[in-house]
Amino acid sequence: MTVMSHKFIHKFLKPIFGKEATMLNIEKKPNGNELTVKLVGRLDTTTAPMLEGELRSSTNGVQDLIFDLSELEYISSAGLRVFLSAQKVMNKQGKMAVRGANEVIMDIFEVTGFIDILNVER
Amino acid sequence: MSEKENLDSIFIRERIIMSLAEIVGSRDSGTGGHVMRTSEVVQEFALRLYQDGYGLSKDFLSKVIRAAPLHDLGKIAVSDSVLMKNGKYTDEEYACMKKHAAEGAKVVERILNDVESDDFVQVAANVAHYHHEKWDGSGYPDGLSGEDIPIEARIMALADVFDALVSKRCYKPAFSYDKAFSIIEESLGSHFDPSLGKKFLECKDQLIKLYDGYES
Repeated sequence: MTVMSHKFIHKFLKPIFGKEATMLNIEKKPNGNELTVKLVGRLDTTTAPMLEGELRSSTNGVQDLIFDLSELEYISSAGLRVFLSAQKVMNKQGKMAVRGANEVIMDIFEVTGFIDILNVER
Repeated sequence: MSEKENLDSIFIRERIIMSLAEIVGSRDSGTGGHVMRTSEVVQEFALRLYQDGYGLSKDFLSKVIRAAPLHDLGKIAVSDSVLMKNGKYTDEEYACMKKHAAEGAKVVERILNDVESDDFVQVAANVAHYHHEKWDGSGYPDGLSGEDIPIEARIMALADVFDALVSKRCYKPAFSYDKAFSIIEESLGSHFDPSLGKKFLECKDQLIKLYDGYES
């Protein structure tokens, strides 16, 4: 389910707030027991609860959870904690992978130690 | 979190840290947001130090990031009348408030000794104990100066003060980002480690973006 398109953010919200509104676009692509979740934008304190809610309602029965981070710009500690929770859930019912992370996100995974916790595909 | 560990144990340890941070936040409505924001500032700053090869290992930096939410833990030992006071402290009240630093280190050690590595407990205790020390020795509780102040506490001090500057407090309005960064710049060598502080100033754009997110 698309929560809010980037086009909408840039066309309407940016002029209203006069700055880049921090938003996260969550695109879910289910395929049988596999679910790909593409994250577009910033995963931070403001947007992490949104992802947490989305995952809670959509990971039931999922055996393969894949996060596509190719268009994720930034992840804060609140966002990392959502990944940690998701990994914990998926360890019980299947597996989880994180892929497509840009250089900054990879550096964040490195410096926070999450590179050793999550299954990060380069 | 450097080696592959059992995820359940990692999860529980993260929960302990966040729960302790939430307890501090629930005691003081202004502190909740402060704890969360300063922790994210520390992550942003640590990322910069890592990317620029400042000479601190990523293992150490990951410990500082994890320890950041505990920096004000000692506030649980400060009485409500002081913690929630709206207005200027008397000397006596200020002395009581200042106890949160050393007290925080004690609480960190007591609670985390059996669940975390010795290295992490040391970093977290140092962050709590020394984040109000100043480079010129005029801080508290021990009046340490220069490199005698553990570097994890010097990192925390920058994040802590930055958040206080750009936030509204009962004794001051919220300063603009420009004003906050210029105050920090003027305090390099007096309040802050000059070399570390210079690196912090280089995070300006990222920090503004982070804080714009809190407002939207």
